[in-house]
Amino acid sequence: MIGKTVIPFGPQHAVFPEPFHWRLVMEEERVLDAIPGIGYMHRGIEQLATRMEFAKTLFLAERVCGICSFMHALAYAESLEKLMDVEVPPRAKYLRTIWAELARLQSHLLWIGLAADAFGFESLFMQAWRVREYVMDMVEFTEGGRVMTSSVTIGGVRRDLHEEAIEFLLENLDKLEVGFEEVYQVFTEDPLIKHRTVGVGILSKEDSIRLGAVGPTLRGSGVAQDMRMLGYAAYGELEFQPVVEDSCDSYARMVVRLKECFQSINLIRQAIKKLPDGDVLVKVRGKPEGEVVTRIEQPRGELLYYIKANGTKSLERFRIRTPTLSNLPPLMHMIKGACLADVPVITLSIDTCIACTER
Amino acid sequence: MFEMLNTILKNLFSGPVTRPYPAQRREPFASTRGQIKSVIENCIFCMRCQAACPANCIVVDRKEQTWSVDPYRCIVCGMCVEVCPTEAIIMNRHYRDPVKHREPIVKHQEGPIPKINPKAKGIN
Repeated sequence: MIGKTVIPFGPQHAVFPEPFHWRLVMEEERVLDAIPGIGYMHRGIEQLATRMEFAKTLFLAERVCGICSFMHALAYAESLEKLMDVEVPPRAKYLRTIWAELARLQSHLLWIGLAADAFGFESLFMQAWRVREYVMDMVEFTEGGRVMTSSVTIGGVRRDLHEEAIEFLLENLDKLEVGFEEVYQVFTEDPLIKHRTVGVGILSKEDSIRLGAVGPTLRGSGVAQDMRMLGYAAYGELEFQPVVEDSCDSYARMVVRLKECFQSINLIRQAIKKLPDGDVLVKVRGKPEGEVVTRIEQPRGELLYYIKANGTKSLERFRIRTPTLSNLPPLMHMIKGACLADVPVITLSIDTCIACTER
Repeated sequence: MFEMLNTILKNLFSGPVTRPYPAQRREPFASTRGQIKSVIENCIFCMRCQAACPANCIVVDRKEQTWSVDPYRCIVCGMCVEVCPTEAIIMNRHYRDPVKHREPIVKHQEGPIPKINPKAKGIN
């Protein structure tokens, strides 16, 4: 009989892109209990926001996370527009949708590469990131920056799409689709990847609802919940259905993300086709007052913004709940009973974003 | 088996995807925000850029006729370029070069402050 051992896992670990710590209580090869340790990347953004001017906080919100920076800016702008009763022009709504889907594409492709790297599949990792470069080019061409795009502002967007940019988008989307199809085939057919993911990290439908999972983690457990169905930006006018998988394991969560890439490509094409003419920005006057909650579908799941303003130039309270925080309790549940060798794959399967979580 | 052959042939006859970096550099797109450049001759020292900067990296001194930016605090959001009424700040698409010492960029204007009508361009 071997007693319990505690194995520290992280914060510096080859599979984690960001510092995340596990204390794994092990009995032989099985994990009995997993205690997460977070707080290595706390920057005090919520507190800082209460001292900045509300218009400048947009850029601060954008810097909460490096991968989903656009989504944070979008959530902040949508919240303040609700508070200040601003009606965004329809063209700006469509542009926001296009850019949000580009952000989702680049985030999912980044995760796909990292997941391949975690399996030890180095060449697939490079192929996934090669394909991702098309998305990064589209982002840079249309928004001006590869990561920090600063393209959303309160009352609309700061840039417009001209003819040349739309052609560039459509051309690159075709290239992306062809390239991604190859990566998709490897992910869905390769026996090695299936061996590492099928049946690993089971999260049943009931558990996922009970523990409050969000995003692809929830959809991988067979629950069709997608914040885009709420119809913010121009999602209400586009045709799509949430991608749902029923097998409840790491493989299902992976397939949800892969299929969402095709969905995003489709949504961008739809949005470009329906893109209305007109202005992209309305002037915003006055100062915000009141409370507002906004929910946005980030690549990792539901992002919740709570903002309380009191009519002064800075906000009274700024609170962000990120999808990774919601996905931590389901993750703890999944890891219990798993093998030590499966811990990295299960942890990656929820697509952890520690910078978001700790702000 | 044949799928593998396809991949091998494709990789044999197509060139590498990556660039031989220092010899061949990637050109940024025309719309890329690389760094801000000051055209100090146009500056009327209205301080709008200083007020709009979310990173507080621009300092304008009307008395001394100097305009300075800390490029290491600058987040290249382009707000100053948007609010500038006289196009005295422009966006350059090339990223900042590496330097050995961290110093602010200070521009000094000679002669009297130019009288340019700020209403020529839309002001936010």
